[in-house]
Amino acid sequence: MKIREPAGIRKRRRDKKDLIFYCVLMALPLLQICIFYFGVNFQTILMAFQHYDAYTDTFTWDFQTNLKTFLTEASTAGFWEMMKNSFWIYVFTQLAGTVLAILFAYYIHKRHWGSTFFRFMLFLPSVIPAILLTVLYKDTVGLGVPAWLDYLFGIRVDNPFSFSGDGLRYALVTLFTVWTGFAAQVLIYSATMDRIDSSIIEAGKVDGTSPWQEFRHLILPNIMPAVSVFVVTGIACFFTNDNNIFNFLSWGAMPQEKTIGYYLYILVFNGKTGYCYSAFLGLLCSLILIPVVTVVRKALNREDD
Amino acid sequence: MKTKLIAMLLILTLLASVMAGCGVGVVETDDTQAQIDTQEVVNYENATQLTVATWDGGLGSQWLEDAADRFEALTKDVSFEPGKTGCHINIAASRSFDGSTMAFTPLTHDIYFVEAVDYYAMTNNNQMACLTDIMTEPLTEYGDSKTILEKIPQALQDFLLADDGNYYAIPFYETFYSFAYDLDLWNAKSFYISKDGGWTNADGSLSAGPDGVAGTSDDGMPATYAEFGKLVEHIKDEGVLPFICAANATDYVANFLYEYYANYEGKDQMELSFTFDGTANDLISVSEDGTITELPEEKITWDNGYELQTQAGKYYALCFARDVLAPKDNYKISDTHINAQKSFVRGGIVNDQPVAMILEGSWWENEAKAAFTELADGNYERHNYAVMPKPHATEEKIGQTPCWLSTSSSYGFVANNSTHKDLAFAFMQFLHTDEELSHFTAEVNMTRPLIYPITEEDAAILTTYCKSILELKETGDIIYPYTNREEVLDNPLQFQSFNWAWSTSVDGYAYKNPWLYFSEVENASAEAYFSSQKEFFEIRWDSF
Repeated sequence: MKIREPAGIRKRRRDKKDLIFYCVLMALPLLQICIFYFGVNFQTILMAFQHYDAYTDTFTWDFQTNLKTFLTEASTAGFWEMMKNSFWIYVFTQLAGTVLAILFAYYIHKRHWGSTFFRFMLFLPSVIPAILLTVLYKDTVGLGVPAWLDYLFGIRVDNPFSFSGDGLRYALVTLFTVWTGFAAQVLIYSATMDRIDSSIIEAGKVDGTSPWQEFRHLILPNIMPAVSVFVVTGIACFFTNDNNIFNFLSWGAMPQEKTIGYYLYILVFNGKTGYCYSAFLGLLCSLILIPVVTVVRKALNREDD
Repeated sequence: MKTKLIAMLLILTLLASVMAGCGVGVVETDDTQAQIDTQEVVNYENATQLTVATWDGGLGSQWLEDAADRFEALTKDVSFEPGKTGCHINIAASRSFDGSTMAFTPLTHDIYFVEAVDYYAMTNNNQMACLTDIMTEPLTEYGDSKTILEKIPQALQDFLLADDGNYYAIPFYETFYSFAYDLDLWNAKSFYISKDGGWTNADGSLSAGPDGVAGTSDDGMPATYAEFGKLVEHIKDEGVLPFICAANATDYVANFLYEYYANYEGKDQMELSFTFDGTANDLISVSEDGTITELPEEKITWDNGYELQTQAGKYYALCFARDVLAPKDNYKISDTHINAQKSFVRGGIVNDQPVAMILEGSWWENEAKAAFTELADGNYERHNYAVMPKPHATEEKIGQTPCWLSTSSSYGFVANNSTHKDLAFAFMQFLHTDEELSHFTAEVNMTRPLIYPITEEDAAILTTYCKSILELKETGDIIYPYTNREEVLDNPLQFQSFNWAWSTSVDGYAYKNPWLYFSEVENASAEAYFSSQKEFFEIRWDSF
């Protein structure tokens, strides 16, 4: 004879199974966040107050050395050039990039001519490894274009990546950064636009809105939450954006081309010797950015409301 | 069912990531590629197995494979562990064996021959086995009466001697950064300087060259920077590209200039940069218009070590960079060093522009093997190159003994966790007999920073280029740019390699490579670069 299990026991068993499933589901992200967020950041904060002794391979408590190094560097024009470059990279990749991305996403959303092709092209940087894309871009622009100019018109130009003096190299590298950063934004914005309730757009059309009015009053307000996310994360990355300089130039970037992000990268790349000072500089950057990000986020949230 | 499946997948993902992240797995990430590249391992069941890992760069691994074969044959009846006879040495050659990261990763092979090793970090981490016993024991078992230590120059011995009085590694290869030039092209195009100051071929009446003595191998070569400048103009007039270098190796140019700086200073003055003990007698100051003022002699100690930044040789090397190396029409910059080597080797064949010189480390000829093979397939044979003797900054310096920097941080060592230390030690001793060192040079056409003769058999097969390296070692003063001063080892970013020679801050912008500065900065000034160097180090000196 089969005895029917009481409902309470069945529920408890189901709850237990659910709990196991929940634990398994959460374990990996929690483990990841513990190691790669809390662990790494905690260690980095500690390192900001330490000095690495390469001879004995030990870290000792020493805040002054990092502070002194920073003060020495902050008094040089090169340091402020890096700050200036970080600012301009932010302007190009985030502000100008965002505006262009929204307009382009709208174009794709409206299914205008070639929108599928453009969407595919923009998605390419997201699926091709960054270093491969860099090599393709560098060789196409640096070797291919001069070769074609020579072949077609007999115009001989040097590889623009071999020389920084005229600023063209810096412009080309920045253009690459804008292009590769563009893709994610366009895809998110166009997907967000596609999800806008069609009845809102239809209602607008009934009221006789022009395409610009539709964009300004119907589309833009609906994608603002997505825009806010990009603007806020963009500010948070102000000091870490290396403008892909290392991929293009390795160690050979000139002072006029460096960003703080590239500098931090190089410091860490140099091995343990650079860890403590880069941690100090990173902490300092965070202290500057935390209030800025907080204010901007609040302002954008208010705008959304 | 679906939930169970998802849960199982999640568990598997979690386990996989934990194993990969925490190193529970058997495979070391450091060696993954190496294991792929490792030659097929022949399992000699009754032989003791040993693995030797080496950086698969310019030197390759053929020299090691040949040596391993000889050692295996020599020890085929020797037992290195109970129940086994003979040995089998597996060579793992890969670019993943990067010495610069080894101080932080576990070693999984028995012996390493790698470059960019942080010797003190690795000894402090107890990663290297103590080699004192095998280095101080005569190699009589292998037919050599000397010890390994006797073959190591004193400066390197001092550097390698750890605090506990032991040695843990043996210097591997050495390189000299220089121009290599094509003797055939020189002859065909009459790039030799004649006695009367004109141009001639190898059979002409040649000038005495940098050593100032007629009848030596440097005859017809430019004796001063000014002559070198004239030679470059002549080369261009003949439709030949003066020199080629690589965009991915611009540090070679900085090292090259370091060599020119050392050549001016001479051994005694240059070694002050590593001992910080002695009297500096050629310090100068330079005004904005280039007027040089000699400064009084200065007793150098660590406390005022930054004064060495005003050594005259630096200024002259900077002028050389500005006047000869930086002008755009004097060189071509190839994207990679391999392509630069290829362009140099193929220069003048079919449509390729002839190239007079390549700026490289002395490994280049061995590294360019593929380019030479490609040429040979097309029935072209080329192996007539030589190291360009260094010209002097001024006429007064002609005749001064040339000075070369033996640079490399490459070492051979036994992993402390090796389970076959006896065999590893025996193989290390075998590799450092005079005969094996000579074979090494014959195989890779490079030298090791050790004292050893070349056998007649090997000398017969050396390339012209390798012979010129041997000659520069024989006729010049060799400086080993190493020191075990704690302050220097603690601050590699300021002292390692050419950082000490070229770090500066001009108008607030930091530079480390004069060539990049002169070729890329508008109105670049050798005077400003030189004058800023002392201040750059002085304000940081207390923090070292």
